[in-house]
Amino acid sequence: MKKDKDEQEFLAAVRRALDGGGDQLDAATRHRLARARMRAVEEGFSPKTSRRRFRLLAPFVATLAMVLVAAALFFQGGSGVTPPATEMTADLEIITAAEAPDFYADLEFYQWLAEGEEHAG
Amino acid sequence: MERFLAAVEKQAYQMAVIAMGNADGALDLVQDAMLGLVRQYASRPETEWRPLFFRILQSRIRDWHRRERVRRRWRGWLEQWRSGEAEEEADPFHEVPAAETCNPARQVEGGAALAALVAELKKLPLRQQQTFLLRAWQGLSVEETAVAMGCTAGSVKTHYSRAVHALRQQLEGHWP
Repeated sequence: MKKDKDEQEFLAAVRRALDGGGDQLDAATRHRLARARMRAVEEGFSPKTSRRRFRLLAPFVATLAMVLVAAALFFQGGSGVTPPATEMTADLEIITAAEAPDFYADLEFYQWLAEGEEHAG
Repeated sequence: MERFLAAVEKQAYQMAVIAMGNADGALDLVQDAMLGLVRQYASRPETEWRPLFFRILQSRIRDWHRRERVRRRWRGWLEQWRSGEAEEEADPFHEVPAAETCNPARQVEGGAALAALVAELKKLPLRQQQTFLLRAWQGLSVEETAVAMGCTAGSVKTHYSRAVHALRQQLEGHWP
């Protein structure tokens, strides 16, 4: 019982301290956060032209990145530093993927969300 | 939507700073998460925004850590390649963050107790750290935290309990 009470007091103190940290943010940071919020709201509700443009460019950027990496490895010559092939492939996928890496890990979540929408609608 | 974002932005920023140790990066990441919420979920009921927003934020934080790991590895290879000293071990000083990235938490930290808390939070594994902040600070339920973290409710309970135990043990001198 006392242990639970101690833990509750500890957690309340943590919340107070972290809330206090938010109040202590300097004016410049608060201003930048407010600007970021306004930009997000503005861009979020506007047509997605820039995203579409990025999606069109993504395959070219990915190809260019792969060519550059291949060239770097080719000219690496005899320095003896050869990254493992499997790691390189995984890295390239992460660097060049048009989708965020978590998208693939989150497929179940999107499925759940879609099911929720079906039930709601 | 804007009112909701204004209510969570400072907390989200603090969580990102603790996770990344980089104030500018944290700002970009929070803006990205806000943009993601507006674009994808503005039409969802308002009660769902909080767990969805923190899910996006967590996803961005994890992506940032993955990319950082990849960048560090490539930087290491490139530096070895440039110097031609393949036999040498990587310089451990390259792993130390630059001076300005060591201190962003200054903005978050106030008193000594908060400084101690932030320092201990940074020592926790990322999942424990963020689970603790979502549960203890943001007040998300176990299920909401599981959605935000993209893991099971059981994992949330384990991470949270370990984080509380570790923090209480380390902060005994500063906290009740």
